[in-house]
Amino acid sequence: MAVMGGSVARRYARALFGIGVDAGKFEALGDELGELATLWNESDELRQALENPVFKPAEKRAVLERILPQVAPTPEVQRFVLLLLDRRRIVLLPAIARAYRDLTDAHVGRVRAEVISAEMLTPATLDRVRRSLEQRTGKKVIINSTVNPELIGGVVARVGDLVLDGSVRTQLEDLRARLVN
Amino acid sequence: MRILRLIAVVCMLAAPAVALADEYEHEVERELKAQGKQAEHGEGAGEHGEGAGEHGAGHEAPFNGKTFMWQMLNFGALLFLLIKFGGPAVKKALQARHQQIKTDLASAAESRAAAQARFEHQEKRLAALESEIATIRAGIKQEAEAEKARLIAMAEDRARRIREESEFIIEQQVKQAEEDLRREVAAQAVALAEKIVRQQLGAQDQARLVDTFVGDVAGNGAHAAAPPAPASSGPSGAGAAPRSEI
Repeated sequence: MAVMGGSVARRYARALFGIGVDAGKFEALGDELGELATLWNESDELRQALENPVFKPAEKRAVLERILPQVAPTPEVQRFVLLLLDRRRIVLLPAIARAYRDLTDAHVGRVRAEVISAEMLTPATLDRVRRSLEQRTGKKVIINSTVNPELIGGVVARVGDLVLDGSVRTQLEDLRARLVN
Repeated sequence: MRILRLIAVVCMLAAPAVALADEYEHEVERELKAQGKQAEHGEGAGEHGEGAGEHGAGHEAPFNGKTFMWQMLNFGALLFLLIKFGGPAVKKALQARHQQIKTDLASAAESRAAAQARFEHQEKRLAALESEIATIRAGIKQEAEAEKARLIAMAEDRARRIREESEFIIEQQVKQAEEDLRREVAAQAVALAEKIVRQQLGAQDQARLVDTFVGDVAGNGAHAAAPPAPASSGPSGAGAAPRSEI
């Protein structure tokens, strides 16, 4: 079901992305879609209002029509979200936003990296890590940094399917494996 | 038919005898009547009668040659008939009886011979009984020895298999115990190393680890650094070589 949802989300994302590229504002459309997805994830009331079958479609549409101008002023995004509501695909909004972001990144030659460290990294350190990852991938890198004390020390960077692990935790696991074998 | 003819011949031959017998009967009847009259006369005369009675009792019939001749002829005819018609049957019966007795004698002789043969066989067997018993005893002993050897071989084979299985199980358990011990020791060593690293890892060490990571990532991170030795070199010596995993 998740695979099928992802496939459907990519199709919707590609459709909107095509419109955005043609209009020359795919970045703006992506930003608005991302903000809508964030609102969807953070607002239980919004999800309840749009997912609950108790509310009539007209009522759901009225709710969206009140919110959309504030969050997504672009008419393309507004029509797109209302289309999702009419086709009962509104629950795919976060997945569509992710797919749209991936399409945008691929279009502009950009990758996103998740950097996990044992302690909070300074902006300068993050910048160094970003540059090293750009040098490694040959693409512009956008870093999402998180902290995991379980790493003990070092950094783990995940870029797409590539994982670069420089953590003390992993080295200790390697040590354990060598001792056992 | 033959019987009817025989009856007719007998009747013809018997006719004179019958006539002679009738004549004889008449003669006897007359004599009896005469004697009866004399007896009645004697009762009236007293002793004279008794004397007459003695006279009557002492009377003997005279030899009649004609009667004798008829009797002889009759006997001869009877004898002829018996020989003529009864002879073959009697002869045949006697021959059959003779043959039967002969057969019985032969059968008895055969039975006797068979009994004699059995007797001799039993005698011989009895004579060979000792050796037969010895042979049977030797055979039983040989079979017992073979069975004993078979059972011993089977027991030895089973013992060998049990020993091999036991050795295998023990070997596996020893290996498992060694592996468990290795795992336990490794876990303890890593836990101790982690504890020391956590205690001694400072901000400079973190910065050095990040620097090493950045340098390795930029340099493609293709080399594999040696694992850290927390107890000796400390966390700062941990070469934080990035690893690529897909």
